[in-house]
Amino acid sequence: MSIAINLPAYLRPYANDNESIAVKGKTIQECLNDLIKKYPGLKKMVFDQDGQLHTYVSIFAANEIVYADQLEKTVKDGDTIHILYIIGGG
Amino acid sequence: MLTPEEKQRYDRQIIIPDFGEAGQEKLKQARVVIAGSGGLGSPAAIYLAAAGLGTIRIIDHDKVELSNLNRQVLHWDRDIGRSKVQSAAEKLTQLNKNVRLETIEATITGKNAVGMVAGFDVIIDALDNLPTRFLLNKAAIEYGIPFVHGAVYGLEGRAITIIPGKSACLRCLYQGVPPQEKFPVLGTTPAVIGCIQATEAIKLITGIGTPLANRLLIYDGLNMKFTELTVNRKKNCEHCGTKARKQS
Repeated sequence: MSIAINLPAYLRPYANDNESIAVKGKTIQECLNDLIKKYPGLKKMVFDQDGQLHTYVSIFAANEIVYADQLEKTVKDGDTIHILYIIGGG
Repeated sequence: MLTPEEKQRYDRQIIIPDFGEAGQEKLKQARVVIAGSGGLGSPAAIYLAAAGLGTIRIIDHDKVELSNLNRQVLHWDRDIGRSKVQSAAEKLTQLNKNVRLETIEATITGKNAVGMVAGFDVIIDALDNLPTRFLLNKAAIEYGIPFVHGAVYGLEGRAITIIPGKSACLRCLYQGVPPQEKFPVLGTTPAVIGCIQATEAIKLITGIGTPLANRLLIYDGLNMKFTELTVNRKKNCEHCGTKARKQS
């Protein structure tokens, strides 16, 4: 099962400048774990020291927002997960 | 009532289906507050003034710096060192003398935020920092004022419209603030997002179209594509959810 994780511009330097990364997993959490396995530098950008999502990182799966306590939601083949790092520039 | 001069000035938008003179009259009576007169606030203010907004209030505590000029198009070389709100008001008055411009040169805080936006029809979030954006988000929800959020980073921009009591708010989307740092930005990015914010404000006031509520629009200038993601209201949101209602 292949899932794509889409990264915002801010996080792409931590993943060899890739915008979209193919990962494997049955749940959102498993997919995120696979992403971190491929690009360990992303870990500190996405998760805090306790392994929880940073409060300023938002996750979307199948185009809908997924909150930190919903990462065990299952994904299906072909889904895209978006990781958004908060931006505040104006 | 629109004057003959106004009918001629706004003719090209008055003839838009569903807009009409009634829509123009609504704009003339409307009051919009723009928080920030920088990269986002400049294009938003320019197009709202050009469209014939009745009152535009601009809030900014900064002075114009040389490094602002790649994107903050209301401010020019000659304005360096000058108050941004004064610089902006001068240009906007020259653009459209019919618009009533109010300026507040002050920092938005938890104490004064509500007083700065109360009584306005729409708030444009054109700020450059997240803590103040959250303050305004909360004030908008408390006073039931539609809030049009925009933000940029490099060639990426985001926009979402918050309809208090009906749609997800900024706090539903983001719960925290990362360490502050200088952000990169190409001037065209806030130009795109600021114009989207102005469009949203005009739609909310005139009642045309569908607002960008519960939908986060992401502009990726590097790959030149737009993505739309659904943001649902968070039940226990600190600003608009049950948690907020219990606290108030």
